[in-house]
Amino acid sequence: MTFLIVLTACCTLLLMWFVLTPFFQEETGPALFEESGVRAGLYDQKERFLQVIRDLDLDFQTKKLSEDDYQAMRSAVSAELGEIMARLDNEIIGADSSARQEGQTSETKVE
Amino acid sequence: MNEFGHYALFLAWAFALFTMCAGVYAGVLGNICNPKALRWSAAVRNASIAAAISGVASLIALGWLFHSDDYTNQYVWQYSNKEMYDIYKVSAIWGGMDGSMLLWAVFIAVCGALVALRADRCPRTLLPWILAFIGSSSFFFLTVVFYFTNPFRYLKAEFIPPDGNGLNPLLQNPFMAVHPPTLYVGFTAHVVPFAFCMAALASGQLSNEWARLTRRWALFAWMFLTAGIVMGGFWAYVELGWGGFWAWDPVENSSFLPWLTSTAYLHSVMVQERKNMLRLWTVWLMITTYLLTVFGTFLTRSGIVQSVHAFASTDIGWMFLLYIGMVLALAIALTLYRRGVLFSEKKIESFWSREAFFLLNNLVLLSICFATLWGVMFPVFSEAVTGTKQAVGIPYFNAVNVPLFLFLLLLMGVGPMIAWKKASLSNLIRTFLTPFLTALVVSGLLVWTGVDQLYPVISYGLCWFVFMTILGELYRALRAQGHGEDKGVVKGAVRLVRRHRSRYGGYIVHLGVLVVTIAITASMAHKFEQEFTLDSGESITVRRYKLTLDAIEGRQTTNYQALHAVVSVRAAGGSDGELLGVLEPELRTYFRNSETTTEVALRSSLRADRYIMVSGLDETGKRASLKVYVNPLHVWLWIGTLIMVGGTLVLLIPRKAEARSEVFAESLAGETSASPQPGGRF
Repeated sequence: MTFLIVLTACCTLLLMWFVLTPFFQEETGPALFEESGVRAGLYDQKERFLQVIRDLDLDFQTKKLSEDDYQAMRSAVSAELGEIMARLDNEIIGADSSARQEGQTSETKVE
Repeated sequence: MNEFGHYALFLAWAFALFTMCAGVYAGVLGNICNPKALRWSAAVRNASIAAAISGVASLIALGWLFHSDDYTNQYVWQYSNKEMYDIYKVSAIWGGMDGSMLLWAVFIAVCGALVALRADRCPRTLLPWILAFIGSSSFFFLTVVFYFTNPFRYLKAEFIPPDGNGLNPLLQNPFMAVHPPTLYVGFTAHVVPFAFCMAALASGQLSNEWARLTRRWALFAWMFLTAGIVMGGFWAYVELGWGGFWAWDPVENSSFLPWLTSTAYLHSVMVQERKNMLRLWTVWLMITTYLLTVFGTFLTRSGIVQSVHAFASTDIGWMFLLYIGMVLALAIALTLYRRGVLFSEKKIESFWSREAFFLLNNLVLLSICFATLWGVMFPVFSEAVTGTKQAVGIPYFNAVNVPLFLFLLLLMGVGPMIAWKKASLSNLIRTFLTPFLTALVVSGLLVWTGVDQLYPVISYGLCWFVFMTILGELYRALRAQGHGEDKGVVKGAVRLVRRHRSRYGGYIVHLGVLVVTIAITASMAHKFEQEFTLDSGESITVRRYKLTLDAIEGRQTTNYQALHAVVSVRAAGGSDGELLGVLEPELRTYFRNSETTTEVALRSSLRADRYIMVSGLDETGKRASLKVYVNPLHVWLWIGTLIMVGGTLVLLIPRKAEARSEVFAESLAGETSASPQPGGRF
């Protein structure tokens, strides 16, 4: 019984520490938004747009869409895809520059 | 362990409260680049995970109490006894209201944790709001559990009873171990798209992103809801002994209502994604779906409707109504506040377009939803107006919903095949003329072979029509992309499905719906039932089968005493017809509460189900009244559901990284090269 009480108390403290720890960290950004996760989310969205474009292509090939409708819908989806690609590029460039900065900092420390 | 479970439940409740309040605060702080907002958001994310951990711990504690037959706990004493098999002790966790509410609340908390664990995939401004809305749902259900339906209460008795009451015998079926959790996953997973939708409203980020990001969650929830509903039907079929699987019972309907709106949402969201239309409509379909899941809980647990499935009448109904009212008021207020962004300027240009048919499909689904809801609530309304409770039965639901379903079937054939924006006459003729003419021929053949009822003929004809449209679509796509010629039709079709997963996954689901429809039509229209009494050794011919009552035998387990009739089934014609099988329906009497149940004996084949139950035994024990059902094509109902689930899995499975890059390369090549030619190949 005592063991269970101690264990419960420890678990409670652990959970509370887990919840409140962001308030005691200097920087919580990377912990909340891992770059790889953000990129994975954007890749998912990009894949979805590509799927939509492929479906539109198929609709056009099977003569379900007129040339005008097809071009209009494809360019609208492509514009949204472009937006996602730009965000993805920003994430990749951001990750590269922060990695470079980290590298420079560690080199300076070594020196 | 009782205290531990209670305490874990309290912790889950406290963390859910923190998630809700801190989430709103972080959301109001807005810009997540602000370190303060970022810290609060991170704390909210961690609190969501902590709430789920605590909730799961409380559920494990309850499971442990059942496993250890701890009858100091009132809930365990009420729903378990020592003779029950372990699998039924697992079912007993959600066999009563308290445990089922705990399971529901924990599932919502787990959904919150799963979203929190992938927080980096959510838009930064939406994240705190999303977690706040999931947290608020979790907080509501945990409040109900903690204060009103707490399963960790001690038994109020002067001594600890040596054994418990035991689970209701009707629930002592292996399917009860999987049906409720599956259904609850379906219900509770809808909280995620709902939270994204409300977060989009609250933050003003009303682009299509919220719908795109929750597509998998919505499909996942729909798949589980579908599987859960059909599993419930299977349980009713084998356990309740009336030869059917769906009785339009209020509790069955309460799971069917959100399924209808969820199906409508999945179609509407495609129009939003492709055409940037129906945004307000889509938002409200998701809000309605979520509210209907909560309303279903209210129906089942408030005692306002009578049902074999309903939990005992309780006084928690007002809490659900209050919650539904609050969510509804908030959703209306946010919609009015964001009306400028929500209303789309785009209009449907032609009736003969995919968007128009998807909207029509939505309207039919909502009509079925409304008609069913009206039927469910009619006893309540009639009592309020006339003072007398008047229930509506199966005939009402069938009379209203069957024609609507048939119309929906027609739309299922037309909607996905017709062009976006505006279909030309040549497009319509090319796509629909052959399916339409062959469907007419099939219907005519059915009438000629003796099917004389209108609805079955229409139903089979429409199923053929839809099947042919899907087949035609596949054929045209194979030809257009040249897949069928160089590598064979099957390989070409597989490649096509892989390339256009969302489209062909949807068609697979539609094929499953067709199979289900044929099975339901056959079992409704051509079902055969007969009741008779036989002495031991006596035979009777029922349609193509000769049934002989070989013996009536008794057997006993630790839990119940059973009398089972041994019935041999032979092909009719001649005294020594081929033995098709031996069926042993039972009458069970449970020792604990002296309840008697009937256990049906079932032999399924692809052609028909032979279903026998004992409706009575005489005092001598040598004469039995038996009821026989022959349900044609019934097994296809379950097969069709598996196809639907399989189709949804095709939609859900993510593409592998290498496949992505291959597609991406193809797409880039496509972007730079000329557009594909209609009717030609790349």
